[in-house]
Amino acid sequence: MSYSGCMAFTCLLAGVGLSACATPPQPFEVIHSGAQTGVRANSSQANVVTDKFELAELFKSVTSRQLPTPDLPAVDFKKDIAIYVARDPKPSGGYGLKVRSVKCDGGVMKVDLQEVNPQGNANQAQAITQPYVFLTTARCPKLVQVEVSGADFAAPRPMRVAPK
Amino acid sequence: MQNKFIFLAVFPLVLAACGGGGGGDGGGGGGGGSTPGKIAGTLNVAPSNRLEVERNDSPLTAQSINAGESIVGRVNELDSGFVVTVPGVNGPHPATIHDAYRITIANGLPNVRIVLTMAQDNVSVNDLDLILMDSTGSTAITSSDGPDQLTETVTTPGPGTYIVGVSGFLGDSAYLLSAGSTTTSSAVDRELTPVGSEFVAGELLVKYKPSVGLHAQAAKNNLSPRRDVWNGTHLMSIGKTAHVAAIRNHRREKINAPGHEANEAIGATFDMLRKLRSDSAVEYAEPNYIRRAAAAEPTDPFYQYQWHYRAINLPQAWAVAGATPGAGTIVAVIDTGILKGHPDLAGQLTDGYDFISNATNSADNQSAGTFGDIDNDPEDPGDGSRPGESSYHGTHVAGTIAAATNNGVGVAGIAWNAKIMPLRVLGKQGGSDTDIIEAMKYAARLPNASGNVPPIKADVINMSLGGAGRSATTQQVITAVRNEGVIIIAAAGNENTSTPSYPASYDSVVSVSAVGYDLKRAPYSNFGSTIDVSAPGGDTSVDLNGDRFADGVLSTLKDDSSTPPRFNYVFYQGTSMAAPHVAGVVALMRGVNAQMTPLQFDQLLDGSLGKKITIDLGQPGRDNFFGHGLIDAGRAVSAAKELGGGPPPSGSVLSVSVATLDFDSYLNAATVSINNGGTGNLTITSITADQSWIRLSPTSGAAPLTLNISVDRAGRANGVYRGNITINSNATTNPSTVLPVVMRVAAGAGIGDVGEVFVLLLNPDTGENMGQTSTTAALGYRYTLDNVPPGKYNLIAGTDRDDDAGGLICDIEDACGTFGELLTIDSAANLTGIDFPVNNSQNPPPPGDIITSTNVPPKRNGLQPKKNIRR
Repeated sequence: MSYSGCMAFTCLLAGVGLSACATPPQPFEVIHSGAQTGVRANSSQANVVTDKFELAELFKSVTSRQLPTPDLPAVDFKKDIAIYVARDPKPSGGYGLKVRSVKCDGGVMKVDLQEVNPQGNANQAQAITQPYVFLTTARCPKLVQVEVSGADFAAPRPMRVAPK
Repeated sequence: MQNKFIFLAVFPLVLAACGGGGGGDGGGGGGGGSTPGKIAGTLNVAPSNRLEVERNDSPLTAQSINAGESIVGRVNELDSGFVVTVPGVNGPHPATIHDAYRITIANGLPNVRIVLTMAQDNVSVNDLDLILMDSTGSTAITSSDGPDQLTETVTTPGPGTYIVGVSGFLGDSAYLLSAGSTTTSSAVDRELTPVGSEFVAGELLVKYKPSVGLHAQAAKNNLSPRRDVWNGTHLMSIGKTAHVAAIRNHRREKINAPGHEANEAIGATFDMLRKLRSDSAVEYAEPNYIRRAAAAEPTDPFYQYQWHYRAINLPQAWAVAGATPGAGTIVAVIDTGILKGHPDLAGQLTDGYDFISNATNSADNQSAGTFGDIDNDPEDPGDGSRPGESSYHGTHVAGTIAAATNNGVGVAGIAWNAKIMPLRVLGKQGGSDTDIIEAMKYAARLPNASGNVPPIKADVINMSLGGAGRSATTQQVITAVRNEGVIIIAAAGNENTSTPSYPASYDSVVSVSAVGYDLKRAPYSNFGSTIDVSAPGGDTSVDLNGDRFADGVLSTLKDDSSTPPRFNYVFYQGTSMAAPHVAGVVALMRGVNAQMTPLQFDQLLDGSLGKKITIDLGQPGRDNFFGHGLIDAGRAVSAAKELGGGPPPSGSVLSVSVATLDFDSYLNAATVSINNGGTGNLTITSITADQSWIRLSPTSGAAPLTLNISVDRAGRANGVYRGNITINSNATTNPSTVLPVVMRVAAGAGIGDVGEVFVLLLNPDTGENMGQTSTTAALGYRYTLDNVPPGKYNLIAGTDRDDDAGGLICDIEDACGTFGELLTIDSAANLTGIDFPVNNSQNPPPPGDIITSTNVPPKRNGLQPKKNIRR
């Protein structure tokens, strides 16, 4: 699989391009999500998928703890890309992951995430959770990089995207 | 070869020629008059019973046979066939295969034992051999040619396609070829040894009747007594008969394919077992079975991935718990609620409640109006903000405790006859102590915010939830709940810390830590002085058992991210998953000892009652990682049973004669007995079915009650149909039960064909044939016995494949079946619907099925040869 790496930073806190943050968001669709990813990782993850073979391989890994295996979502890679993000493992229920917005800023696609955490001292389900989201959105013109922002993605790493 | 297996024409009933058979002869008389009556019904012949289809004398024309099927055929040594080279004691030599069958074993399915039973009794003039070949029929893989045996066996070596060849070595004989399987129900269920069983070839356990001289009888049967195992039951070795040498002198060559000797030994064991079971001097004879620890494990397709059950010796626990593990117990699951529609949970639930009082947290848009947002619907609407975010955690926990098991779907549960009481307290924002308190009170039938209590309190509460902070109020409620006899189990928490998590750390709560597949502490599991016991919680970062899945705990869930949403099964990890293992085991314990108290359970855990129910892990004795050790379900259920011995439950008990009903593709009706297993009176208040194709009569009444159940396949597409019959009563104990029902609709399934079957009316005192008729597949195996004098009768039906001089039906090569009750014919009675199964059998009917007191010589009456049974 030729994932292009992982990028994380907080757009506003990092002060990267105010004009970019003002770019209008574009539509996206969550094609699969869950409370526990099947990818074995002890940290947050972000991947860009640009063809159906990569998608099939990653989706198989993400859903590897489910029986029976769900159907592979259909993605039109001629015009769209898919992005997978997952949080690091959490000790209980009450954790979630939402996509606030997806924007194109020149050749950079910016995905803004919101992490949901347990509130106060409420009792929580005592299962390990690792929420994940698979989304698809229109490929930015001349896309070269995807950036993901959110509290779990504190170590910025750009995800390079191979040109079409 | 030509099928010569048509030996008798169908003649009309010959009752008049059968010796009169007045009321007195019929065994005690019937009604007041003497007008003859009539008996009619249908013999249920399963589709797995088939006849040989000619020509099947080459690999290309081999007839298919599947696991679970049996085929009746006939071979003559002069018939046409094909030649295969087989290994012999003096080198390769040709053997002629006269009848060929093709069998395929798919990947993942068990091997099949193929048994050839000859109809002719004298192997010195009629002898058949059995050879298993590759898919082309060119190479012999294994064989069996015991020259002094009526039985030959071979077993497939693994997945693949094989040709099974029947070779007519000497003379000719009808035969029965059966393909046993560990996964299918069929005629071979009546095999001499249960399908899938293992036994020591060449050995039997035999008990002769007291009046019989042991050594003389054993010598007569060429058996060597080795030791008295128990009270006159001897372990015997089967010897080679002198006859062997004589027969072998006639042999052109003895086959010596791999495994040949072992196959012959199995065949010889079958032969001797049959011989002894029909010997009046023998009280009983049985194989020396080989037992495996995991012999009685569930058949659910995903059970193979539930490593966490074998880790705590659940198969041993199930063996002790009996056929209905956890029956009569209730486990309250205080959690996120339940997905009531999950196919592995529907039917496993008792009424629950939604105690989430905050509307935002609950998010189910329901309220009973009594207190906040609580209501009587514990359905889990999800604890996420949109599809794909929810954990459906309570459903996962409930599945571990009591998922429907042996239902052909999904996973197994630990105590699958226990009921889950789903109590919802965790919502989008988790759960508050006050809501949890209300749920605990409800489970224990203490006054609570709902204003209601359940009809029966829970035996166990499972709380796979927790948080920081100790509450004095919660502790007091826990003490009160425990005082009601409820055992409380909770998850220790997943922060890999010794900081106490609650409710697990309260007094009177059993705190459960988690282990992985390697039985080491799971990396996330909390530890400390409050840990009582450990159980599998899984570790999804590894696949140590090599099953290609992460080593989590597999249980019921829902994927609401897919379109459309679907119920599924997911590997989760956490102490949340460990706690229900212990809760399920407690349900099994309460199932065998309803009087076991919370204190006794604690004492069993710490060993102070002198019994050990854990496997010690870590430091010897109790430690802070594993508490008293890993819960051992086998030891726990045995210990609980030993602790029992208290007074039996008082009052009425609902007792149903069967646990499940399988109509297969050919059965249409069944009856079930409903009885009071306790004292006093029992009223069946309702009997209902959840599927329109299930017909019931009656739907209520006083016990004892006979429930008639029929199924309607009309207009239904091919497939497997499942439903449930719910029986409710006013019983003090076990007032309700659910009978799962399965029906199959298959094109052309219809009925099987075992050839012509004779239906005999027997004097129950003498065993004499008082009348007979016959029927065939072309007649739908419907039969009618007219002109039956009033009296009492046994009814037996079977084939006579060797058409022997004695006219014996139900011989070892025959199909056979008996009606299970003594029939009473009153004057002018017209008994219809006397249906019973007839299947190819490798075993004569059990002695208890028919009377064997006198020996009445066979008679020929000029019309239909009079048939008899072996007595």
